[in-house]
Amino acid sequence: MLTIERVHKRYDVSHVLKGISMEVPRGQSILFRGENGSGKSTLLRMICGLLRPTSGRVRWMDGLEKEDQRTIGYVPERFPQLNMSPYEYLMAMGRIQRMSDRDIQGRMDELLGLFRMEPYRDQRMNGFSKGMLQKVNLVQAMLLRKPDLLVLDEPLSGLDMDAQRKLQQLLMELHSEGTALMMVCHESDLLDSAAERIITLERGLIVGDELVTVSESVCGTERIESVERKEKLLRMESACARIVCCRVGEELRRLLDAHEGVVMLESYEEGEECETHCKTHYISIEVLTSASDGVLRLILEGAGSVMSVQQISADSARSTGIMENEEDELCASH
Amino acid sequence: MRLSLIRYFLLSFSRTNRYVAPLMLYVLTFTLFYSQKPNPIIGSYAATAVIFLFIAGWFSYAFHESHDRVQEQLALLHTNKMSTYFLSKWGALALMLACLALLTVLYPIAIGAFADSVSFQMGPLAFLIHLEVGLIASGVAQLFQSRFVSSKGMAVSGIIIVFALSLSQNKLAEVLPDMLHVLLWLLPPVKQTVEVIVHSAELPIQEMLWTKAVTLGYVAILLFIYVMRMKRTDMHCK
Repeated sequence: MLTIERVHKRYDVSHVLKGISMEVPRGQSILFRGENGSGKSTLLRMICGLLRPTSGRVRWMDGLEKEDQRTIGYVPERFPQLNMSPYEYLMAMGRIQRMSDRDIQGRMDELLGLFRMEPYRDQRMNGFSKGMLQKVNLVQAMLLRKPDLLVLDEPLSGLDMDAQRKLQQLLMELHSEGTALMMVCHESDLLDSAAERIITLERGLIVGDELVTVSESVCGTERIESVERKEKLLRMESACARIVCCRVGEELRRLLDAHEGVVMLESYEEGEECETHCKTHYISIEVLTSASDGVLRLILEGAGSVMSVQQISADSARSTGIMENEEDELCASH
Repeated sequence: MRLSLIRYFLLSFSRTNRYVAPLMLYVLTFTLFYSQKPNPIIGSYAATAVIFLFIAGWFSYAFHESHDRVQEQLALLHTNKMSTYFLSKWGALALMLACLALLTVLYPIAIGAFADSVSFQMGPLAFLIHLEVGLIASGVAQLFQSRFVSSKGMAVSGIIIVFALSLSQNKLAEVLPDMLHVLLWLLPPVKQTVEVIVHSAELPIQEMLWTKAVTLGYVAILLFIYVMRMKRTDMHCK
């Protein structure tokens, strides 16, 4: 359905997405995991077309190439307290999507009823609680019966348990009808059952991509553990290098942090120099092998001192986070 | 443009209080302006067109700032086409400005504020002049919205400066060296538009039509720049 090709996103100095590449087949349901600031919401907004990549591209296929050919439902993280009623708002959104009034009414009644929002249908939303707003948020995204893609950014936020269960069922239904799902959820257990692929992001990179299967039992859904670990990767490359350096000023550090090849940057203090009794500040940088030359050049030009450069496997770098699986020491210099 | 979107923009804007201040100023200004009777027709309409420029600028700026960013993201996604969305947004604004322009022309006639009766040609011409001035104001104001100019003070100052410069084009032409006269073409053609009503009695029809074409062309260019800039702008919310 869509291909994401080496997508980068920068906001001023922060480098939010650092070369994301992935393919999404039609109708697949994906759960994105990752800590705050890992780039999940940015990636979702980019897929929706609300953000432009700084470099790289999001390419739609399967007859969805033009923006007016595809239908995307989007549940943003926050829904505004509009000074209109859900009825007015949803009718307007449905009409904008060229739905007939009858279809809008039917779908609206169905979904508002499901989330027990019917009594509030004609009340202005500026007095609504977070949970009520979230329900309207979900309804607006699902007004169209069968969108090509439904993007949900923290859909469970503020919902009561009953509504969470109903949303889970609704998502499974939509998915079974062929709608692709992309979800970001911190309470991921609740949406795990609707996901057949789990992608983990860390600092703007895909560090995990698992395919899982879902089996449906009579009394609901029962999850079978991950059957296929497709790949665990740092970007598309299998190796990266760790550069340890010191004498890194603020400006150089900022440049390194923003460098697209830098996967991780950590500073630490070590030992005491005999003469000065001062601790030395080191910076450990994990960098994609292909970008290591550029990063080294940047450090030297910025008057930093390179202590060592080591080749490490990406997998071990991610999983251990320490220097256990170092393979080759490329050089060591002062 | 999509009618359902225009309706939605009108509904949404009507539910905010952002239109209240410019509308109050509009009502107060024109009530005071026509409190003395009788008034000359051409001079009054020329003066109200200049006043309308500033009020329409404020009104347009308020309209563009009235939509929540998330609300905008969602409506944009439901529309499925960026250019349709932004053209419809401008269409809703143009519709409101057309209503205000019509009111500005009809109000003095309705209260009998003029010394003479307004001729059949003068009424539509005055309406068109006010509408064109309003459209120019909306075109300028939308380029100063917070997506492009984050400081509100800078945006408001920018709009006022552009309007003031466009009204003083003749003075600028005297001050500027000849080689810089081409820069005057960048300024909105407000002065030329208003002058059509001042010289309506002696102006040949071709020249009148040419001025109108220049004004509408200028508005179209502003609209094109606006849509292109919006297409290249991130629709995120900070």
